[in-house]
Amino acid sequence: MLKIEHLTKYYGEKLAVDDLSLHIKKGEIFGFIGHNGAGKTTTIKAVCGIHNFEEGSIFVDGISVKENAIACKQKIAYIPDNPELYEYMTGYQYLKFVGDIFQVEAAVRWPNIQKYAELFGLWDDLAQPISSYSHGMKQKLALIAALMHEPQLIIMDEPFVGLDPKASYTLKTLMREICDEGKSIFFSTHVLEVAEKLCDKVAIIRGGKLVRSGTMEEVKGDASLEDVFMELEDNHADHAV
Amino acid sequence: MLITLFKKQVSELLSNMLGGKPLKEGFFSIRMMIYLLLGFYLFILMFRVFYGMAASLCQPLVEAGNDWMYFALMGIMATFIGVSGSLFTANSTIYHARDNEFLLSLPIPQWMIVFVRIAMIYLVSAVFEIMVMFPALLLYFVIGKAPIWALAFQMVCVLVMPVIAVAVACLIGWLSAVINSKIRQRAIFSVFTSLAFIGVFYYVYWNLYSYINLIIANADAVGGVMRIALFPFYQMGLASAGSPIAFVIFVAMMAAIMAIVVSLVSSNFVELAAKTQTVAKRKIKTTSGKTNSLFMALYKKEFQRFTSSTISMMSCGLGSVMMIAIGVTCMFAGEWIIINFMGMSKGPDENLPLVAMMVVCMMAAMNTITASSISLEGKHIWMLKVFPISPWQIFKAKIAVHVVITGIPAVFCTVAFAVAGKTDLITMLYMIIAALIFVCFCAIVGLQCNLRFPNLSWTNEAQAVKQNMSVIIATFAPWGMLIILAVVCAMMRIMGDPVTKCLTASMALVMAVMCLQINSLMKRGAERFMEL
Repeated sequence: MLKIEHLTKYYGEKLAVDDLSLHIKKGEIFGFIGHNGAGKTTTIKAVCGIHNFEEGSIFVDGISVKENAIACKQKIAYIPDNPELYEYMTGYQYLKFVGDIFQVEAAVRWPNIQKYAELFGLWDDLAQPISSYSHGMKQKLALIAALMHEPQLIIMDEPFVGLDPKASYTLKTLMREICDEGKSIFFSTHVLEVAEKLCDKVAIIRGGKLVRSGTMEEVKGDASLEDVFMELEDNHADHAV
Repeated sequence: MLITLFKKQVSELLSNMLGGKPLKEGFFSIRMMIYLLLGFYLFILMFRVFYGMAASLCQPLVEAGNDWMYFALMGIMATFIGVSGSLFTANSTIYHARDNEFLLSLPIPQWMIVFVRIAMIYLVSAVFEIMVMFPALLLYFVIGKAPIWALAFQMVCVLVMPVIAVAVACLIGWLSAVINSKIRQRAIFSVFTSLAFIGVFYYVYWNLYSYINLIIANADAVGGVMRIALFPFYQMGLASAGSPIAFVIFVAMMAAIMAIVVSLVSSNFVELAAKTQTVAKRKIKTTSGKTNSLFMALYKKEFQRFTSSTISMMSCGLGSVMMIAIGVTCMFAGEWIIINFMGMSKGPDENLPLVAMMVVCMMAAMNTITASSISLEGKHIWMLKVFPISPWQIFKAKIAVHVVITGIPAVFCTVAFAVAGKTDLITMLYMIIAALIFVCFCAIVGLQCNLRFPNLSWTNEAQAVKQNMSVIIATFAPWGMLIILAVVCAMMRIMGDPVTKCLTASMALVMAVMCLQINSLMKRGAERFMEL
């Protein structure tokens, strides 16, 4: 579903992502882990077409992001870590706008809005202006907008930040259901316990370089994901010294 | 702490002006050169207007021994201009700055945050007021009779006088914030206030010289009223004419006004600045609404963005307001408009279609909707990049909103001019098409400017809408095209070509430039957008 090959991205002279390759199959939940500034968000933004990249290639369902970005974006839903949404719209207007942009048919759009808005407990607030929403409500609205057009690949940057425990649980359950339908999810997180429980595969990135990747068992073995992550961090610190 | 806050505010202002470059590097940049050139141009423009006003007042008032009245009247005009410069920004600068919550969370006294915000409004007002008072002081220096040391009083008075404009702007800004926090249609109060102010401004401006003559003829009576009703300006006038006591009174009054404004705004700053809009809870009734095409979805979003913000409407749509106002006035007093507004002192002649087209185009060029449309995306820009749409589709929607908001008033105003000038139907059609093509040109220029000089990290909307290089260039660049068109039309008329041929040539020229612009937007513009 998503193939990243030798991705390299610079910010000026600073190397942000260094020769990164990942392969996410249909039906997989893929966790992307790394310290702050490791290159997670840069990679995610390159996949979504927000950032250009110097070297490498990214394919979404076999379509190159560089060559046909719009066709790729049609298959993707992106949820940023801090959803800045149009505050002059109401929640409903925003969902309608996103539906129009993705040209979601009415027969699909309205039932999906109702289903997900009720699931996340946002139905009663959809007529309110987004400017009156809390961070968590905006996050929920961004999730509904993302799910409404039934994307093949959902990309989430720290999706659990700001969500209340109930919404967090709902999202985790929903993520599994979505992937069971053959769709894929690629998300970054700092919450290693969640990644450990939820992900089929995981990748750890450090300083823009992929340091470990594979199924959860391959990456962590008998230890916990947190232990593995900390061990990799310590190794890096030793090498640095 | 106050100095730190000032530094932060000033560096924010400079950063906006210099496109994020450090001061040392940015000061010698092309951007800075453009600012200086435009600033000089604006200064000359204002100097011409207000030197004329000062010249009509100074001689007769000084000869009659009413020196104070000269300064007071010029001071009133300067304050009026100062208020007009800061009126639209006060509300957004004080209450809607994005870093309000952050600053409130720091151990900074509230009055300091308010004081620094107000100081920025003072700076804007002071720039405008100095441009009015400079020619006034210069003229008085030549003609006036006050002792030379009174010049120091005059300069101090000019520097402290913007406090009055600040007080008026803050009062209106505070009222807007209070009312906006209680009603759903937040822009209504601000729009009506701003429209009323613009109406008064232009009414006074067009009748300025008849008022001046009236004042000079009844100087004693007017002076008597001013002494009581406009006491601060009376004291300012006396101080500028060399009265030390009046100088002390005036400066003390300004200091008191500033203190009152800061304490009043501080008293409920937190309440208004950090308040989430309280609106009656509404429930969604149905989800079976209509769907829109891609273009309509983007167009509606742009339109909603424009109408949701008072500062956008009043700053970027001022040309539309003027065209509607002039068009309506033209329906009732066509000849007056042709003689006074279009400058055809002998009444309508065969050149009227050309002059009318130029006047409409000049007003249309005042609209800078596209010139701030990219900056206004701000932190939301990620959405447009993630959606499966091309930059050109986004540009089309932005241009369309500009064309609709500017084009409809432009057509109305053109028709009103044509009817007043008894122009035939075919020529009227030529005029309408020429005006619409020029509106499209302005829209594209604005978008190109904003793609070249975007400001996505603004902390209040005024920075995106007004204090932005793209808006300044987009306001003046179409005037360059108008000068070229005027020269071409004038030469064609001298060679005996009919008016319709001149209009056709103008349209062809603008269309040719527009084709190049569209080509550039679709290629380089699209790349630039994705790099933002």
